[in-house]
Amino acid sequence: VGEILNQATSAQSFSGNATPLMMGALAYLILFVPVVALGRFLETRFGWRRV
Amino acid sequence: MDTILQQFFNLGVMEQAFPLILGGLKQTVIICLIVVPLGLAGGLAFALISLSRLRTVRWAAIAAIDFFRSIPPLVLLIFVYAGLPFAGFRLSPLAAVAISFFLNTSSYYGEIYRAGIESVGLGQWDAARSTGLWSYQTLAYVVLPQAVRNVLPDLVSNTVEVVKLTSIASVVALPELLYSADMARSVTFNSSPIVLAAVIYLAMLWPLVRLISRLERRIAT
Repeated sequence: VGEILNQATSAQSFSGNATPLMMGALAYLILFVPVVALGRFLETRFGWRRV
Repeated sequence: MDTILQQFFNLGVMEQAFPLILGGLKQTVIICLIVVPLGLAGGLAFALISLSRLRTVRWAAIAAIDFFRSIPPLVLLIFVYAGLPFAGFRLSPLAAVAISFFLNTSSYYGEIYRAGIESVGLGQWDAARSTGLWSYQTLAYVVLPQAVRNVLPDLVSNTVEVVKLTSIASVVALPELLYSADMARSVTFNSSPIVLAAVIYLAMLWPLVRLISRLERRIAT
């Protein structure tokens, strides 16, 4: 399946360079960091106050 | 029906593949024995650092945890195994698996520990400190035991996740359970070895999943 990681590893093996892999990892970070940040926001927003 | 039995539940093929799959199971167990204790220890470290009073230290730990929770473990593994050699670090498959899974799972364990520590009331800290315990003694003897008890089901649950995660190690040609089963499948042209591997995973993990439910019920009362 041609998702980000597959494209990145084949680009890496074509170019013999790790840059495509870095770009792939960066793409995943761009995708998921907002989700993780949203998780943290929800936790602080709806968390109970510590007593 | 006969074709299904022949293709998926062929006992002869399973018997042939069994030694190979047993070797794979051994590798899976070895990976788990490396990754789970490392993850538990690293997670505790992550949690304690992310609860530090120094804001920069705290933010650095939270950034690291968020980074490793955001990056898919498969990407991290391929990066460590196939990317780092370009920087001059050539690692064995087992070392690459250990490092990448350690980073991934310890961030998850870290979040679980943090939830546990935060679930212990601040009054417990004050009370323990007022009896003359040092802060690290308070942590070790008063707060952590209660914290771990509160999040024990989640810790076990994450451990189940880690065991399942080890099947990803097959992409770096580490001959663990799934890899051996897939090799046996391609040699025998029969899917029965995969079924056997699935049964082994199930037999390993189902008792743990039952344990989680029991722990949950015990804590709930």
